[in-house]
Amino acid sequence: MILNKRNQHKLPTTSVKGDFPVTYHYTAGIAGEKFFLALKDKKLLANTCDSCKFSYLPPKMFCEDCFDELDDGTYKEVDGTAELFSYSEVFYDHRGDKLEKPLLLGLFKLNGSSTIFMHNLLVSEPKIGMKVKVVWSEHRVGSIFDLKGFE
Amino acid sequence: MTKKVGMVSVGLTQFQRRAKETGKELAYYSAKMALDEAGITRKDVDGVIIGSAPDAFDGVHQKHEYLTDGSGGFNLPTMRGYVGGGTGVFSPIQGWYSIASGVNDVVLVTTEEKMSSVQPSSQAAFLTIFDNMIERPLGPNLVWIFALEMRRYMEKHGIPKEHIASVSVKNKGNAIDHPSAMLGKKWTLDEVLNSELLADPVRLLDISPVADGAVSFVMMSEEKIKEFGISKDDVAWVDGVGWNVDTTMWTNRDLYYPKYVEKAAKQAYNMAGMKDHSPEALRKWLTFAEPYDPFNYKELHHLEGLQLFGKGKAPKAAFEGVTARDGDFPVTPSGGLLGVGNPIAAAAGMKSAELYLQLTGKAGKRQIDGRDMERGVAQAWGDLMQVGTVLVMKGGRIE
Ligand SMILES: [Zn+2]
Repeated sequence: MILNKRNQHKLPTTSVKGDFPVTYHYTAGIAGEKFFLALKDKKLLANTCDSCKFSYLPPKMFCEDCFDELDDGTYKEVDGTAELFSYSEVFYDHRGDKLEKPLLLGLFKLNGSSTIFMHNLLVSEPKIGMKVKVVWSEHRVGSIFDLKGFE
Repeated sequence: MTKKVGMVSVGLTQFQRRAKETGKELAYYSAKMALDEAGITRKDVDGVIIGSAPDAFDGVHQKHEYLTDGSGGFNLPTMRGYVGGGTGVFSPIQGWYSIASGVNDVVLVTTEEKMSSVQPSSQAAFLTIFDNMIERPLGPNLVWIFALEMRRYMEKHGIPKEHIASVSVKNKGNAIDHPSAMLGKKWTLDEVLNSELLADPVRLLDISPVADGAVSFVMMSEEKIKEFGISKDDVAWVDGVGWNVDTTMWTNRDLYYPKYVEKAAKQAYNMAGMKDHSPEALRKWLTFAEPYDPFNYKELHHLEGLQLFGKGKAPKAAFEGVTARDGDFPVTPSGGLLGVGNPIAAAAGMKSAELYLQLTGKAGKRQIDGRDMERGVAQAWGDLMQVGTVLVMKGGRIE
């Protein structure tokens, strides 16, 4: 077999530093802008497809299944109560650095939505299926951190 | 034996500098419009093609996955093709082969780009398409390297800049009649010739503007077209397709002539049964052309690669009005990238859409009149200036 005869040489390596010299100005979009602006007023918005009754949180401009456009009338506020769907205690960040303090990350099924939402889990003894509620930040600017997490 | 494939509808967003919509919302607008135009729903679709250029523009990695919902791909066989600027013509080619092969019957194709996200400019992202250690440290951007290519083309044939500039006047003027256009305007030749010098000989009005936008198509097998009762007047058949890639070392080509476009074009013409590749025969066989025009000289360059004019012959023909919308051989009746705008993959998608709209008589004020709309060719160009993609379509009643 050729694989066994032509072994790959392992050569000493020199590397040159580089970067990807770009940053971004993202737009939240038609549905996203409604969602983020509502967070400033401590409101969690979901929207529901009239055809299939699936509720999106965060809301979407269209139903990915029926392909209906979801207009203003489809949006409604949910109460912020949720069920813990899954969780993990995490120790390293995306750079490979050890976190100063381990972080609890959760997946939440918010009442009034059909989707699952990721955020920080603020309880000491997590258990799948437990009832939790949204915790708001004092200072809200229309970002995902207008929520501290769920407890 | 491959199946006969027709395009039955198109959908286009407005092209604009910065859209409020996300990339997936743009994709949804054009995809939904194409479905509505075809009179079908997503439930009728059995395959989805997504075409988008570098992830670095939208700032979303694996953009095809991100765009899947807006493109109608949820729970369907979905695939992204990507050949840089060549993508918008390659995507309907992918739509064609997924149907021609018998894998799918009804395919929704979407091309999308949201270039306003990337900062400080799309050229910063383009910088990383060059070799990291040999070329990138010199800071090339596309305007610089196209200036090198444009000068080589002008020098080789002794082309006056007036002839090249006339393409900007024509295309930006044609775009006035395109509902998606960002830059439709009647410029004078002098205004183009005296616009700001960016990289000699390239001036501001020689170039197309970056944009956000999306374009979609519905494509079907002949049997499905019959089954849905779609009139032949609403169909443009895929007649020939071709694509080709030149050497990765873009500097190792004589830049005055796009050999890769010639190879792609001949592949498409041969598939359509057109063996005579002389400019005279091809200009008779084809009613019009939509060659890729991110820069004005590129339209001319590509017309020669497409064999529609001899080498060095396209500029004079354009200057003399041969390629005007009401000329002997209309070229870029849409207004092109120069006039409608250049959201990379969607820009060439717009060119593919123009084939459909002209061949079915739905181009509105842009409609080429006074002749039978038999056949058109769209072409795009991309990767590191070495890919050519070519699509020939014919009218629904042409056998
Ligand atoms: Zn639905």
